[in-house]
Amino acid sequence: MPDRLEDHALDPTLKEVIIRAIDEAIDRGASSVEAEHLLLAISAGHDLAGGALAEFGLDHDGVDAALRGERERSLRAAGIEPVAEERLVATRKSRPVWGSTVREALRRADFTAHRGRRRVERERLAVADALVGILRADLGTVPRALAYAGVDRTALITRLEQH
Amino acid sequence: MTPPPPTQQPPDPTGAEADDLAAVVALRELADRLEDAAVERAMRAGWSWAQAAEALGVTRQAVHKKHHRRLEAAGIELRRRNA
Repeated sequence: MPDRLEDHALDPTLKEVIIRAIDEAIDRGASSVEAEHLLLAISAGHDLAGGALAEFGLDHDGVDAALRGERERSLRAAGIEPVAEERLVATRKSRPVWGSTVREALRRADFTAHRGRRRVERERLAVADALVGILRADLGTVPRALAYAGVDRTALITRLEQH
Repeated sequence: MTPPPPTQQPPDPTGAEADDLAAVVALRELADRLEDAAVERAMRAGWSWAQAAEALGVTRQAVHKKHHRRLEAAGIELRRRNA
């Protein structure tokens, strides 16, 4: 499958969410845009995908807290206490690169699932498809954050695939 | 060492091995953010690129390439002398 990020046929709604994901990465001082930034961007929306996340306790604040919790636990696994945010204040990079986890999420998303539907409908569902792509990762930051937050990833995927 | 036979189930994302690998990810991210903040603080305090590079144990070119665009955008008056 071609790299979705350079795909000019990307649904406009999904494109907007991906642009918001870049802002999420910049806000967090990240050097690359990763799947967790796309998850944050999706959780800020009030569409089908954002609504499903909120039902599972993952509104934007919920995702943010889950991701922070994951990083704190991971650092503690290496014996490191979290560093105070004020020591990490820096002018942000304006152009983070695309990370491999966001590429992989979009590769895993099945954007052909609603091929038979009208264009408006497909656009509406494209963000939910991307979210399923993120949730299909079994390892890494997002599945860890969701596991620690007590979110049933499989149930969330099932909920999204009902549409 | 003989590798264990492949299993159908993916490994636990919060298991001991996953914790060690996630610690690497978290440490890299922390190191990157701490470097951005520390280099910026040093440059605001009037350090030269050469001094920041020496403190980091990297070349002046490396530290300049990594940070100059960001810090110029921040309007930091970068020291030219000894640059």
